[in-house]
Amino acid sequence: MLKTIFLTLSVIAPAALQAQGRMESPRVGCVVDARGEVRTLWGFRANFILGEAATSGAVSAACSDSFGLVKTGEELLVMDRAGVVVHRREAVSGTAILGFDDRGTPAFAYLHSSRQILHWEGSGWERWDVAMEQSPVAIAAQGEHLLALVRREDELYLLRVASDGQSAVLARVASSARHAVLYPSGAFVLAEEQSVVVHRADGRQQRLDVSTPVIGLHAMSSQWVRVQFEAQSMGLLLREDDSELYLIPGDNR
Amino acid sequence: MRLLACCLPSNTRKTELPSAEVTRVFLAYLVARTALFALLWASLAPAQITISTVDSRGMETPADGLVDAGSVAAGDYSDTRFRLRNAGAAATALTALRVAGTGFTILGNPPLPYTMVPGANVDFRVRFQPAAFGAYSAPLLVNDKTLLIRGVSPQAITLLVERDGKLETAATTAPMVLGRVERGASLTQGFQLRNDTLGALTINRAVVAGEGFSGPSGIVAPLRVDPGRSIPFEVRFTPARNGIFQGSLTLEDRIFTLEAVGFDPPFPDAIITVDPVVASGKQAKVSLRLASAPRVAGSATLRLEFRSEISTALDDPAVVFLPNGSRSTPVSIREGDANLGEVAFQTGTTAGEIRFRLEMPAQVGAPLTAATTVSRAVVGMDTTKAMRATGSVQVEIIGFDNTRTASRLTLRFFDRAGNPLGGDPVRAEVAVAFQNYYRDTSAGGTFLLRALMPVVGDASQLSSVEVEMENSSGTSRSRASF
Repeated sequence: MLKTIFLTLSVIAPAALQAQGRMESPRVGCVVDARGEVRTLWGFRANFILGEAATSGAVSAACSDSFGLVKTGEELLVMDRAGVVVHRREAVSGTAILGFDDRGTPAFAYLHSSRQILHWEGSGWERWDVAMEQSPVAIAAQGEHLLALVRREDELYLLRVASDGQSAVLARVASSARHAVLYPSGAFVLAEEQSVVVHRADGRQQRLDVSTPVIGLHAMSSQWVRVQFEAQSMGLLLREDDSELYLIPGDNR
Repeated sequence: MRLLACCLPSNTRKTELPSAEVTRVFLAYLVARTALFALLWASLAPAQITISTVDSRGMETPADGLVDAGSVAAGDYSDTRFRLRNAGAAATALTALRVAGTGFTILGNPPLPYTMVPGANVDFRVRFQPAAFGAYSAPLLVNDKTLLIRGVSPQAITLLVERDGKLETAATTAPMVLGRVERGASLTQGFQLRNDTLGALTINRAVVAGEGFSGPSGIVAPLRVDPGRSIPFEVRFTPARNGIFQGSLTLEDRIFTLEAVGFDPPFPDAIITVDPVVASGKQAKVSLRLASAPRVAGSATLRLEFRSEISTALDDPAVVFLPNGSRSTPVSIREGDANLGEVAFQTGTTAGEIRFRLEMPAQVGAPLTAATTVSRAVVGMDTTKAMRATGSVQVEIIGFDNTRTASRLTLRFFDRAGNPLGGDPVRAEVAVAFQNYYRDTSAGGTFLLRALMPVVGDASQLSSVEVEMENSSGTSRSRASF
């Protein structure tokens, strides 16, 4: 899926220069189907092609543009863009919340059953000795800090947590959302009762109404969030001004 | 002739013999053959055959002289099972087996003559089926033995069933098929009670039973029927569901089995509505409805088929229904609701035709079809990004070519004032690169093109880039800011 073409640049440079081009199939991100199989979703908005299963048994998953993080029953997997597992470690059974940094590399994993935070140290996971009072709803990394959306009563708090446990509240949102996706920029997406709310990093919000309750959200890539309903899934394309929802094929529950 | 051939010396068919010799040999053959037949005939003595009746439990009772076929109402029948046995030590031939007499027929009898080896049985039945009341008898001939079979048909009401304007005598021995009717509708079956006897008869019990069956209408028991009189009545069948139904009509102690079929009403004609032309790279909808409200619920199947116009791209995996990602999807039909809803589908990124076919349950004619055309189009650019880096710029295009004929890429750069940067734009002949890419990809007509260009000079002067792509359908443009 990768081809090379050559361009000649003659405008900017005083002399013509050889430029290189690459062609490949456009990738939307990854999705986890009802059987726990992680697949690449190819194409672009309104033209999706579901790829072959890269791995199975996923109970939680999230993807950036470059990597995938998958929690199976007993393991935490790191996959590259092609879906190849490049790192695996044992992890307590149960679901996890997974986060990336702004380059799309793995950053944090929160294991629900042990309430443990793992930090990616470049070649493996290390335990982060920070205790969270409440289980986060979504996490990401901002520099060396952990960004976490945490529920306190009827509000969600966006916290920035340092490795020494010091934390700062970056934002506070009245919301009943149980599902969220958080990006390193501080932007996040919430699944409300029958709507999806996009909170941009600059504080602007966009509400997209949906007809049925949302039962899950997960990051497919830096631009796409999978919105999961009982009978189908949609892809939320995060855009600067106007985010959009599209049906995703082949992901029935 | 077979016997002659086998018994003649083999050479007699090959060697010329004197005519006197031929005559002698032939006479000897005739004598031998006659003796053989006489011997065989003597061994097939009819006296070796015994006759029994066999009851429903398989018990044999020797039959001699008179056999009682019982009492049978007119129109009904009873079968008496007989068994012949060769009780001798030699084979014997069954050469005669017949029954003669009104109301009696023989069933299951072997073709005659029939050779019975010692100990062999031959079973057959004699059916007694009186057409009217009275006493009946008939001789049963077995080789040289004759039995008398007798039966009686009591004085009783005859039940007649109407069939195509004619009356037929009804029997309890087989179900009466009333016919087929749509669920919720009714059919009516006409009957007559007829008294063919010489005295008045009374029906004390006339009952119709069974799901969907009702009646009898037109008569009420007890009911007196005078000699020679006929009284009509009806039985109604109104199925509340589809299926095969069995009921009964009881007249006195005779139980007639009724049978009828209820079926779901046919679905009204369906109408598929889809735009005649759709663009590539879209999620569109096909709407389905029925010409009128269906009287029954059901399920149909909508299928799609993609026919590519592009010789180098036979299919496009993105052309599927949503959300199931398949090329067939179930469609629910709700009773009373003509609207079957809409089904979303992806148009893909290959020029061609998408055909839809709706397969209805219990469809009589061909499935309903409709089609939409994905027209050839210029290269579609969904996303164009321009990025600056130290010493280079990168332009990234996500798009599709539904003709697979992309041939030229042109990039025009603009400064912050919106003026084109001097000189000619960057042009690249990309036909071969695209063809090579499409040869290997399984992502339809989609592509992601990243062009990385070294920059000499101050790249911060660059403000935007206009991307121009050509294919066989024309030129498309897109613009991105750095």
